[in-house]
Amino acid sequence: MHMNMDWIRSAMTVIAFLTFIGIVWWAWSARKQGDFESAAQSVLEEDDRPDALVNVRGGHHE
Amino acid sequence: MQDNTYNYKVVRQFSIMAVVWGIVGMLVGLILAAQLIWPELNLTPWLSYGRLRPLHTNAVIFAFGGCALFASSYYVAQRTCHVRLFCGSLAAFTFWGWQVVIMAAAITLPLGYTSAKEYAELEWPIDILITLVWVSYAVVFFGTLAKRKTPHIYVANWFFGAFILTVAVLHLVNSAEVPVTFWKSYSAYAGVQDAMIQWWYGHNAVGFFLTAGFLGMMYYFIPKQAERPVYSYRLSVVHFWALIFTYMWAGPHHLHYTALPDWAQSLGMVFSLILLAPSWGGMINGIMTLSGAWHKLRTDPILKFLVVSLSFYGMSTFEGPMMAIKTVNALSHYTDWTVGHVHSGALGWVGLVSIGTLYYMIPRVFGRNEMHSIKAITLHFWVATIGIVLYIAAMWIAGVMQGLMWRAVNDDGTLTYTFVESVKATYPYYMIRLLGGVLYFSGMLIMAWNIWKTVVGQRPFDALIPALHPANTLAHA
Repeated sequence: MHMNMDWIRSAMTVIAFLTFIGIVWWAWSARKQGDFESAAQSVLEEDDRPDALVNVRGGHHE
Repeated sequence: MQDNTYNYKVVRQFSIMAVVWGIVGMLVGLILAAQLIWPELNLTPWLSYGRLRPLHTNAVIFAFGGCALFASSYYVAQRTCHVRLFCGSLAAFTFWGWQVVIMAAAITLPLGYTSAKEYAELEWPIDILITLVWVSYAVVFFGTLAKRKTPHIYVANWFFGAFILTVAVLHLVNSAEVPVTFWKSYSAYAGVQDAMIQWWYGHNAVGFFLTAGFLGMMYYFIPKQAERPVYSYRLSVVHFWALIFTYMWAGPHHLHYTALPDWAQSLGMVFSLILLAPSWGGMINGIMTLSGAWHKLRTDPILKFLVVSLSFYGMSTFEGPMMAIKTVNALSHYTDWTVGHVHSGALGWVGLVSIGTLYYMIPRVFGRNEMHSIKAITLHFWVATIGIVLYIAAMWIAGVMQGLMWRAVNDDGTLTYTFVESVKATYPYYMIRLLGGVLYFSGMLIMAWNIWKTVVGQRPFDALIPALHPANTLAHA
């Protein structure tokens, strides 16, 4: 087959599309479900209010 | 510096300056809106419309929006990675460097120094400083992710990371220029290639500076304020990558019916239409995060800011693809409809999500649990929202009217209206737009007062880094 720029451009489009399908497949795989749930929960597990227990215990003012 | 505390200093600095530059940039917007009604307000060349307009756009996007993005990305990266910001001195350089860039813009643009590229007007010496600050920003941000204590990089950081990386590429490519004197350069590209690169830059500045970065805010501050996890983490991953793959190709819709090859225009149109899906994926994901907590919207004005910003995001990302359709664009382009569309995104989405974020973050980084006055936040919310609705409704009507007047022809083929007749017909809508702008600006003054009352007399505060929840330690992963 003759390699030219148009061929490379078409191949890039197909590769990009397949990569995206791969990402969708990966995101919906059962294996990732637990990881995603704990990641979503992780931001709620830490209390960022200044009077939260973690801050009251330590000398935090500069 | 202490390793057991977060670096809140740089967050404090950027947060306060976001409010200051927001007020400055929006005040310049008010002057421009008034100049369109009363041209005699073009008092001197330095304060003329043509020079103030880029000052307004640069100030609200890069000074107000930029400072809000620096502040929130530094806050979110630290809190979600459970580590102090990487390289504090470099983080301080990003703050002071960015302020110098803004000051340089505020001086050179009124003096008339411009490279004449929309949203990239700053001349080459300032472009070099932007590059240095931005590379430092990337080092600080990705350095913080690299030393994280958590197993997973939380999705908000993906959006911030994409914003930082892409803006670096956009700036380097579009600002390639040949200096002639210290304050004059010419683009490295010519003709339609120059136009295409400019709008590849311009639209991706919308996609990555004004969208991805603020989606990063959304994915942290909405769950925190609503005390609910992201509605679908999977959707966040998929719409992230869909945005990345699609936005890059949408730029040609800024060049419909120009010398750009027709196939490139059509390609830009198709990709702009596809963009509706990932955009709405993000909007739905953010709004649905409130499921089970809708009642909080009634009483919590910060949540109102954050959630209504998503409504405007949904509206403007529906409107955008429609306007990218060539036949619609034939009516809308060069009219005030475009200005209305931009402000629906800028005041509604970017403005409201940043304001909500600042109301969340500022008390916390100054050692307080909440803002001085919650009632003042509610007042700010309503004043700002009514202002936006007046602004964009006026510009819709004005824009469609202008488009129809410009294309109207008599039976003998002559134009029905002269251009100046369309200008005259626009005056009432310019008045309504100015009123909307005054309301939005008043909201910012209420915010400034409230923040002053919140932070005055507070000692600098750096929160301790909490111990990781056992389920989220690296050892577990």
